Amino acid sequence: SFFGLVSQGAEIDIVLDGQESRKTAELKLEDGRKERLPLYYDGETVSGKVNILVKKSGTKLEHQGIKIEFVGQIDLYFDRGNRHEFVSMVRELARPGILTQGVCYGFEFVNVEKPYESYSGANVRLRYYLRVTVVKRLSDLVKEQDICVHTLAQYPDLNSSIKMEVGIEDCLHIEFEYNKSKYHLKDVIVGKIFFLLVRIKIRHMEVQIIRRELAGSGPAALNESETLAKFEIMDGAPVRGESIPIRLFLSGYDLTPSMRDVNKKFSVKYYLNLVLVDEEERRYFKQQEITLFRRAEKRRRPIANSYIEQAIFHHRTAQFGQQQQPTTRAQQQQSQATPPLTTPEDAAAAAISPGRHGDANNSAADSPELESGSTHVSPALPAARSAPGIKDVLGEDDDDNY
Amino acid sequence: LFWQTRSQDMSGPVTEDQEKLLDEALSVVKLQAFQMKRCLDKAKLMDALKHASNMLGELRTSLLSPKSYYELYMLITDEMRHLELYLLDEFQKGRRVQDLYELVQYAGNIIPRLYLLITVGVVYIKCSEISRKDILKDLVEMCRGVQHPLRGLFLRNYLLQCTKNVLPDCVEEEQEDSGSVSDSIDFVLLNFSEMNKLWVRMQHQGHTRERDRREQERRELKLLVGTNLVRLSQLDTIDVQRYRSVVLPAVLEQVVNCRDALSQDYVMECIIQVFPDEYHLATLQDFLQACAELNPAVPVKNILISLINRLSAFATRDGSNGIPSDIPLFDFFSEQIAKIIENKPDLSPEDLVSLQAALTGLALGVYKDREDYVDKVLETTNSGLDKLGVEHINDHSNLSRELMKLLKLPIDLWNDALVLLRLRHYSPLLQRLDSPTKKSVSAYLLQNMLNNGTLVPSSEQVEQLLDLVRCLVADPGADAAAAAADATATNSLGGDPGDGSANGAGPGSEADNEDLAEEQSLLGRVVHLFSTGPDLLDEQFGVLKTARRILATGGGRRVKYTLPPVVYQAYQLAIRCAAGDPLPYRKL
Repeated sequence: SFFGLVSQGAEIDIVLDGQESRKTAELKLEDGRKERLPLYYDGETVSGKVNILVKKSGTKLEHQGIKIEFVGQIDLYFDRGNRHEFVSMVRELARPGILTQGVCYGFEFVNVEKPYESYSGANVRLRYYLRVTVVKRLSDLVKEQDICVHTLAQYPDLNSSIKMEVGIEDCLHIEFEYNKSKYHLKDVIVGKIFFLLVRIKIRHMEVQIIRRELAGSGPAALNESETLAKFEIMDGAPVRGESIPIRLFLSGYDLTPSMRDVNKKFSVKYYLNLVLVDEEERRYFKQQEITLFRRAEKRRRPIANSYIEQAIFHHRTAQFGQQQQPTTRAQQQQSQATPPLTTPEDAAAAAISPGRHGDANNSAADSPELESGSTHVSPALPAARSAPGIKDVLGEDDDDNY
Repeated sequence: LFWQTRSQDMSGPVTEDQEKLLDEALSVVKLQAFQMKRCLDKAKLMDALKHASNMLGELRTSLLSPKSYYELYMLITDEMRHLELYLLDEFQKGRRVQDLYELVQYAGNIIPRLYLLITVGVVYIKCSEISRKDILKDLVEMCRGVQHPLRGLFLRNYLLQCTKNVLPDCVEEEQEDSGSVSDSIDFVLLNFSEMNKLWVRMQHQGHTRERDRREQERRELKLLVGTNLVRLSQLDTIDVQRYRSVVLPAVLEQVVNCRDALSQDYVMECIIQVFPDEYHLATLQDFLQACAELNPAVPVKNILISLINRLSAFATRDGSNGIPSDIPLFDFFSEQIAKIIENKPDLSPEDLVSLQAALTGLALGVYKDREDYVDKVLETTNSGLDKLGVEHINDHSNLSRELMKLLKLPIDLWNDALVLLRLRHYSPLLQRLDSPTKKSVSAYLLQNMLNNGTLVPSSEQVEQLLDLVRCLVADPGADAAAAAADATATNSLGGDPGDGSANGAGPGSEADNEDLAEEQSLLGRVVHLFSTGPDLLDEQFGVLKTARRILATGGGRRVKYTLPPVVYQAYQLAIRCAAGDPLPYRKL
């Protein structure tokens, strides 16, 4: 079937109700172009008019019936034959007959269900569209009109922070903290990175936002990663005891909500990837999944005080084994005034083989990741520090001598 | 599987390369600045910000030396002023850009992002007092993201310069969240300690063989750190109480704990210069205590001398109330210096002497009538030099120079040689010097007496004076050498006056004879000051007898200058005696 307008004598045009006042959203088409489409939500009625114009006046257009469908479907690009329609509704517009001039039919899909959000990705696409079909003997006349659907979620009741210690023994030991595990699309990621042990010469540190799309299932499933954001959070080499703030505004990036196993066909997951790069281009990273959701539009804040408040953090005062952590500024100065190690041999000797030009786009299997210690998902300050799995790297006195 | 590669040698860039790199960077800046201003003219703010961001991106470089980086920084920050003024204008006209503070934080690279944030933050503050406290706190905290010493120092300097006139300077908050001076103090102290940390970190970057260059570069940047202290001193609401309880302890804590000699040396000196003298008087013990805890490589004596000199100047300045009587300044410093001497066995003699000289200056300036203070210092100096095993003091040495300075101080500041005669430890110290220097100081003293018309009114004092300047009165060693030189000159064959000792500077030479003549006529003129005053004719005779006796020991070469004045005075005396009535007393 053709999607074109000019085809065998008739022009089909779908006009949606309220199009002038309706909000729009941009979606990427398969060829990469972006299209601005009218925005609908779940449960909203989709209604409008279909105009069919016979091209050359005087011609007769004989048809076997005219219908309009509302379809929600998932296309897997590598599996073209199969379309998975999860919503399919049809309305008959006209019985078989003859058209001699322009005609206009109204349609209404009342409170039609739109369970998933529109998505246009690397290997999969989820779209909603109206399709008008003028059935003819040889080939049908078809016109499609896409719409965009957004799904809104409530702010989650439970939204714990992510706090974790990771590192490479004798080399690098950090604690990172992100204020939440679930963020809405206009949210701010607020957090900090605390350096517990630094024996490598770090050049800079950045936070990346990575989208991982898993399309299909079983052996044919395709995994595609895309780095959507690279946000530098630190320039230069820190020493032990430094606390580096993170403030990353998600509004600046083209993000979608996380999608879990949509119709059992695909998933879209988001990860924060913390990357440290040393003077020798070695990269150390830690990926952490976050959940993104779309929140109903709120009234705009007058001046963004709230995130400034969120972002004023305090230094950690936790204790590790026998080692006293610097609490006062004085002690912090004391512990880091001594010169850091300048040779990386010790670091190299720690049997790691970090990815060299490790583009985080590659699968994590090649480039090693910073080892996790314990995972703290509660916002409370951790009590006991000797969690299983953490090697007590801070037991060494060497720290004070370098 | 793992790399043994050494980090690239980021050693000193060659000068020609520096010039080229700097020129390239500057031309990028000029281009982007031009574009930025053009966009501002057309009110295209987002485009202008993009150009600003490109311009600021040049500050991300690692290739420039501190000097070159500074030049680049100056040009860029100049251009940023245009942006700030534009925004201020817009805001004040009510055309506030929504969420601009948030927008600039979208920048992916941290350097441009923070420079823009500071610029915008300050605009927000200037346009509304509300949340000034929060913004200031946010800015100083967010700067933590730059841990590279050079870039971090300049970034925080930009923060300091931009917030120069907006730091709250009031005891209580005027509006909600507008902040008080406590917030300003916290802000500046945090900025200061972070900057000091970065500055100290520079010491340990790179190879050990580069250490001298690194230290030199650090010195070039010291002002960046010191500006924090200057800013604190500009907050009017900080009174001596707050200085003592909040500001100074925090600064000293940072300085002492960083353990870096260069930083300690500079910051302690900075504290002295930047804050008012009344504050120093009120915090002497804390400050001196910190001095005692500094890195051994820090020349504490310089710091002490600075402080002492400053307080001396303060006390003696016109209109000053002097030192409060409840502060035993002399004792404080005396003790501190003693402590330093004790704790530093490697203290050089000249450092010892210069410390004592400063203390002497203090005593003479602040406690002018306390001769005992000065004598005490001289005694300490003497015994100190003894302890250090100093015997011969070479004429051109630093020690000689320092000692000479010390000895001249009482002469200059009392203008009364008679006081010197009362000090038991002045002469012993003077006699330590080598002959030429000794003579120089002695002559200086005599000249001072002549300038001030200081009369010597008793026989005893004449004796003491001539004993003090004994190097001028008699010099048997030099006389013998001179005689020998003469003999050689007359005996030498083909004695060409042009060569040999006759015209040289040795004893018996023409130059030497000239010096001698000068000295002795000086001595001779001083003889005219030996005067007991009218009516004490007997005394006067005794004085002259003593003078003649002692001056005669000078030998033939000298008495031809020194005896005639005695004779003249004797004539004067005789005339007065014969006349019966005392002649009008005439000052000679």
